[in-house]
Amino acid sequence: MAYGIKLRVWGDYACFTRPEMKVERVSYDVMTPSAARGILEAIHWKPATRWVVDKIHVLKPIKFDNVRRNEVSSKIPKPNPATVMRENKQLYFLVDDGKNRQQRASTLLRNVEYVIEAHFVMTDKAGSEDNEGKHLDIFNRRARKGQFFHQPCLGCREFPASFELLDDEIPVSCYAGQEKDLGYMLLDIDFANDMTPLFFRASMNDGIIEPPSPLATEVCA
Amino acid sequence: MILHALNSYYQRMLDDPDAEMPAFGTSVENISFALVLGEDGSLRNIEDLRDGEGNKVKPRKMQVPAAVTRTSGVKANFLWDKAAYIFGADTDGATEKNRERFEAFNVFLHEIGKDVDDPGFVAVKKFLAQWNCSQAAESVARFQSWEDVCNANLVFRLDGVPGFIHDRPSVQREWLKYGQNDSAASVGQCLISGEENVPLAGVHTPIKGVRGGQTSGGYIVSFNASAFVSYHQDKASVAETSAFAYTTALNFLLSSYSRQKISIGDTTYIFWAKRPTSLEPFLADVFEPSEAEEEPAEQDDRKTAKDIHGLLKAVRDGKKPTDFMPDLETDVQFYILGLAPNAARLSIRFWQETSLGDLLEKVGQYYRELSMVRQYDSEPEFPPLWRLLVQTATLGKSENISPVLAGGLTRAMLTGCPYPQNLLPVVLDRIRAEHNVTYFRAALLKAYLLRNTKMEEVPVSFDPERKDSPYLLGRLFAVLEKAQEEAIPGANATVKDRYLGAAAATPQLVLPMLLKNSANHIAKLRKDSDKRGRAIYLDRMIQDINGELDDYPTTQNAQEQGLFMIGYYHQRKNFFTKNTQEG
Repeated sequence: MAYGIKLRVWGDYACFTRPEMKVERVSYDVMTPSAARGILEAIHWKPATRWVVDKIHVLKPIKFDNVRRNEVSSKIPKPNPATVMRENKQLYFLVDDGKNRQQRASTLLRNVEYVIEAHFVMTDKAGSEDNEGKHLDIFNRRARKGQFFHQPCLGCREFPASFELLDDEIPVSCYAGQEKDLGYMLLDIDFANDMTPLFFRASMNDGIIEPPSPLATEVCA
Repeated sequence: MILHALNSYYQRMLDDPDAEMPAFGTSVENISFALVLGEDGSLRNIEDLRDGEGNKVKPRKMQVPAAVTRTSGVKANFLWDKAAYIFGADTDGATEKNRERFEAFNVFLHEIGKDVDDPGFVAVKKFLAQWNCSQAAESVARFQSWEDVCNANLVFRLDGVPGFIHDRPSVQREWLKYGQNDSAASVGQCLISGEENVPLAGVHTPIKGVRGGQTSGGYIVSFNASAFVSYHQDKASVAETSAFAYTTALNFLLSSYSRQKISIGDTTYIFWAKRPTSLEPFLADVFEPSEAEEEPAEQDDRKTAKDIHGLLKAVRDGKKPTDFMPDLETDVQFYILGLAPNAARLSIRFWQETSLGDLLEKVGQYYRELSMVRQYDSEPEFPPLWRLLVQTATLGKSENISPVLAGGLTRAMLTGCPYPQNLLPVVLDRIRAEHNVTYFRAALLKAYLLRNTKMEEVPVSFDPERKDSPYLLGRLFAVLEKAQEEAIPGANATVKDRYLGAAAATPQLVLPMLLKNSANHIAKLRKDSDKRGRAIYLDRMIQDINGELDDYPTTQNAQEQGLFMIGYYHQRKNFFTKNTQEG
């Protein structure tokens, strides 16, 4: 844990969508490790580094809420962004077609607060000028100033996350002294392996979830 | 969590032989007739399997090889199906389409049963081989009326042998083998059971029985548009066995005879426990107590109704549920799932995991807050949610209930969270529009004031000691109305019809005028020698209440209006009960 960091994140809404219910979205009870990784990457990430989430602390009680939103049912056709970049045009997507509309309901989380404990490892893309100390310093400096590459979010882009680098002790969770089985939870997507989803059996002890490393044997799909 | 809990419910019910939970590879279908075949494949008889008499005949629920998901196109089931598939004819006769269906049934049967030499199975093959689709109606009419048979589901039976052909062990073995080989599906880790390298389910069985949903069922897990797909994963990592288990459990809980479901607003709620508990079958009655005046038909039901009533009383009065039902295990995990249809899909509107004891405590708190003196004895002591909701809807029609309000109220009842913010204005609006404070509305106002505005105390029944001005103003209004009622019996439009809403919102504008009028009413009463006593009584009452009030406020906010209505309701109710005490 020499290069570990602690980041407190919070927000009004969060939706860590379950893969089986991602049409009518239903959130996991708590933040998933891949969502935590996403937040860290929003603040600082380089090909030379890879974030590993060690612990997720759940500080506030798990509360669900519902919203219904009007969305579209199709994605931007794939070549479109490519041509736009090549020919320097404007990127747009016409969604006014009535058949393209979908009303979708989401069961999401309200009023969440987490502490992410994580560290990073160097990948084989690391050059001679990369070292752990340097990237740790960059991350700490950026996080302390509130800088990010893109707005960190709590599961969905529309639910922004506030964050703060935590130097002090981690606050005590409201689930301290309790044990809760969360069932199988998405750990991450194995991008090297045809984007296979990896799952792990999540359990929350004292409000802390300790995801295994994606490289651990217990999660290899 | 949701699918996981449903999966364990399936496993639990599978161990219970009385529950009739279908095993893997089968499903429960409505079957009306069995074709009795001879070993040579001749049709010997058509047996009526339906229960009931006359117009009330119902098909039998029977475990058969799992139904295929049929939306359009021709797909046959194994060893059972509609007449169109088995006879190649239905009401329209032996059309081209029906012959195609008949052919599909035949082909599917041969595909699975290539190696089966079971005499029953052979008989079915022979029967199909010698069947003439165009003479179906005549052949069937020898045994049963063609109108009945041509729309029903049919199974096969071998003459003189008990049991059905699809139940014969060698046939079942072949069917299961087919189910396992069939999966050209991709392989992965199941996110319900955690098993690795298992075939993943492509299409999950649709869920039927959600109110407002499509009759063919809706999907909880579906990826029917490109925007729903991430990372090219167009199916959930759910193993075929797990998918079967959770859909079967859901369909079981949602079936029409299930006692573990209720519909509130546009949402259908189902609930189940992790372990069997004595309360599980009655929980619907805890949320939605049946009306007291309804006479339960059976002795058994009457006892249950009494039990539920006693239990509700106990939890409302803040007692432990175990005081009433000593064998109740209050630490059992309980799950509540609220589903609502959205296009061809189902959305999860509500999900809660809680312990039984905690749940009962929440329900007790809810009824405690709602408890209100009843206007008529016939009104339920524990009002069912829909009766309350109907009181918030225009014209008292259930289709006018706001789904948001219905959902919010249910959520408040089950989780103990605040009532929806718009409950108070909606109820006040209805009172203003209908000039009527009913028992249910008064109860809703009280519950809202107690929980959402943290008002410390709102009385259940008439409280002459209460001194806050909205309550007193409400009482005053009731007395003024009573004075008019007695002075001019049968008036076309009473004070209440004209001024109830205005008096609550702007007392200073309305009440002085009403007071002046009531002086006339009381004067009129005084002139009548029989009613002089009443005149003095009502006059004194007005004086007493006025004595407690400093001034009439120009306006009252929604909260104060709510209390006004409760004061009005209590005083009015008091006029009708007090007679006996006055002596």
